[in-house]
Amino acid sequence: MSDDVFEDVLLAAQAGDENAFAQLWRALNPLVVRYLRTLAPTSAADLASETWLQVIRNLGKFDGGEPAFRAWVFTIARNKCLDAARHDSRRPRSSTDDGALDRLPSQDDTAQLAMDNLSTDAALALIASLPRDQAEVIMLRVVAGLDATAVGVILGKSPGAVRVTAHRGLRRLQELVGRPPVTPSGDAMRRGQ
Amino acid sequence: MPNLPFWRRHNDQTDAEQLDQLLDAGQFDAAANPEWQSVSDVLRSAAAAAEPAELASEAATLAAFRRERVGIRHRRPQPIARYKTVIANRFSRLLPGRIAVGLAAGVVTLTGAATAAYACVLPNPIQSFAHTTIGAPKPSGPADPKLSVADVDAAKWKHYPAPSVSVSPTPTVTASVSAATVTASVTPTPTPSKSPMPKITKKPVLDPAQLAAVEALIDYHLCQSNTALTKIGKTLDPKALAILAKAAGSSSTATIAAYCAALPAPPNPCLAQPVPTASATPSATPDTKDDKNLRDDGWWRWCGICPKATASPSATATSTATAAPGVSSLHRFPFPWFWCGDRDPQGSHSPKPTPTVKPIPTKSPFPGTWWGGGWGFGGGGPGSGNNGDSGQVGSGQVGSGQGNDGGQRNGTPVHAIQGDNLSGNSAGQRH
Repeated sequence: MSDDVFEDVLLAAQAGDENAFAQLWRALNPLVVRYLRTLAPTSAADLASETWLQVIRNLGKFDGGEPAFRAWVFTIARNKCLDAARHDSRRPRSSTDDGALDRLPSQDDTAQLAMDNLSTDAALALIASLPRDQAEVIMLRVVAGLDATAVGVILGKSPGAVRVTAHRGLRRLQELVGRPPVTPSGDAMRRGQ
Repeated sequence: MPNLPFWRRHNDQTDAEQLDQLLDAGQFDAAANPEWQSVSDVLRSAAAAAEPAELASEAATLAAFRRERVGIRHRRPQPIARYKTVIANRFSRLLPGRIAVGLAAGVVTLTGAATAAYACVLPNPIQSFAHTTIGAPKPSGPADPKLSVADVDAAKWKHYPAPSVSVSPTPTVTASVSAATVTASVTPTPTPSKSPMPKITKKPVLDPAQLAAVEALIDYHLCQSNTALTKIGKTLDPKALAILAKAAGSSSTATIAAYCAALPAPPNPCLAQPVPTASATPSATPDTKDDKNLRDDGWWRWCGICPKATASPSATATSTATAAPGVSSLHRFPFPWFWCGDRDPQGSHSPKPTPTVKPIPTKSPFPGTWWGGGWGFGGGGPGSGNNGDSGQVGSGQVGSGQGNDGGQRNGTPVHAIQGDNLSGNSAGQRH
């Protein structure tokens, strides 16, 4: 979406045009969901909904171009994710937490799955297996399409640090994809630590 | 260490450029970097086009957008107007209820105030206001807390020429004389009676003529008392004697005796009144005109207080109150009669003969509220001599002319004045 088109759509959305807002939502919601899936796989959809509610509330206050709007939306999504993480950390966990089961590492090798069926979900699962900062930088850089400066603003890092973190993540991802399949008790377990 | 192989650094620099191309979508050449091909495929899959599942929540999000934007549209253009509108709407919703509550509270308050006013439990000023506005009962005390009941009574009775008088079946005479004012009162002493007489209290100020008459009456009675006491070897009370001496102009016995001899006897106005002096045979149905005359003409105010006998509606007047021509005026003019001093048109002091008393009707011709239901002022005849003995004195001697002296004919005023400094009591009067 070019800047001129985006500006018209944004103004229309700010004026209450539902179709304009729908265009913005269709362009960004899949990316937001995928970004949130790498951070909170079990509650990505809920966090995405809360993100868009916040966007709707503050849409009239936003002023900027398309990259800024995208960075703004992902910033909101990240803050929602962090709030949820804080909330979960304060909430006592039960032994029958369904989310804990989801967080357990799969017995299947992630790299093998990625190579066998390189779908979006598999690719996101492969990226999610990276360390959090690396996965977050890769997702913001690749999926959200933000430059290092914007990602640094979101993450509170300098552009150089973002770049180094991304490189480390890609190398880690290369190791995951290029090596032979491993057992779940091997590298896969160590990666999560 | 110039010859050290820094191949690692060189490779890192090459990888950094390749990695930057990987991160920048569309700039990575997979053919030139086959070792990063798999990573490139992963990233391309991660940034692939949206799947239908990722757009499933579009309806819900748009609904939220509609709800939020509707509020924004109403809030943005005229925020202040909307605020006022909200206040107006809320006020308009609450206004009928508040009005109803206010009206209900007002009705309850007014009803309660009216009830309290008619129950005569309000403070006197408010009760007085309620009396003048809604006809509530009069306050029991003065409306102005600074005024006493006596002040209110004085203001109420100021148009009456008579001084303060309280009448009851057996009155007690109290009199005091001063240089400026004369106040006399008759304090009632309750006696057994079916219908006690109402209490009338007056505190007016006398005009000079009335004052002179009162003083003359007092002097007259003091003279009579002095004469009677001298005969039995006693002397008058020093204070009373001082009054008499002051009236006589000297304290010598001779001067006082001369003054008393020259003092005329007071008249008996009641005997001159047509209604009571007639050969009254009270009927069960009295003449309303006479009754009205009794009240409106003020006769009762002047002569109604004269008799000292107790009117008993149950008394059967069998006594024959025959006038005794030779009875002295002292007997016919007991102390309270001084009110009637200027009411005798003829100035006659002689009693009129009293006709034979007929049986008294059982029903009083006077209103029940007048003299407490009793009727008849006439006491017994001269021979009865028993003040307070209503049964013997008889109440049927209305205007008989002799029914007013009661038991005071035995020199009672003298003792009363002597014993109580011009303030006789009932006990003294019965002596």
